Amino acid sequence: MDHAASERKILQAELRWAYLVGAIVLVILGAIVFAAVSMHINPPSNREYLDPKSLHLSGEFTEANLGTHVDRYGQVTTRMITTQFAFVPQCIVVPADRQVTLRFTSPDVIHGILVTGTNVNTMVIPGHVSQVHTVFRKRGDLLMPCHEYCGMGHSQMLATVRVVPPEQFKPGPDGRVDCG
Amino acid sequence: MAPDDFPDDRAPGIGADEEVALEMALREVPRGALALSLVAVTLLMVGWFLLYFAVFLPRGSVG
Repeated sequence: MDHAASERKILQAELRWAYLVGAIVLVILGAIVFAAVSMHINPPSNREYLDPKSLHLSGEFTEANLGTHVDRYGQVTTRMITTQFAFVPQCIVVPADRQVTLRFTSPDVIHGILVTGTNVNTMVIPGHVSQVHTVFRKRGDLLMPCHEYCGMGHSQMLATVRVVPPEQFKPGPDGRVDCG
Repeated sequence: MAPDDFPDDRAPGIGADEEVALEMALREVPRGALALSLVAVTLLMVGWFLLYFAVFLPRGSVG
């Protein structure tokens, strides 16, 4: 076999490999689109801004508004502040099998949260509100650690997400639910 | 050494017999490389889909 024939063979092999890689990329993209369209699994992409210096003084992240709240339409919203080196509040209660909106912000540095055993995972950036919609299927106390190194106490920064059956999720007259 | 010292595209110091042997090797080696690549990529894809179907999708909606 001469060199020209060898070169052609190599080129054919490379082209075949490129087609295979292209097909794999398309299959993976298809799987991502399938998850997004039919299962509603998307990266959280909320864009909201607030002043991190005054979030404890006014607005939705004042102390009285933190934790889980059910509004008059039945929408469950949980607000939480991530700060060096704690979550406020440390424990939140959410109902299983029901849409929940989690809203986070930070007054100091960048933090990150994930809820173990779920796809809830987002960064929390000072000056921004991170929002995640989800439905918790797994019940019980789920660990929620900070997953973005935020300082010397980072490893101690943990919270609990208590997922209770819908019949045990009973908001008070003010619509609030806490770990009690 | 100047390039003109090699009239053909044969590598320096390789005779005609060695050239034939080299061509034979070049025909065989890619098959092994292709088989190895296919095994590696197949394992990678199996691992990816295992995580996708067994871990990612069951963890439910988020957005």
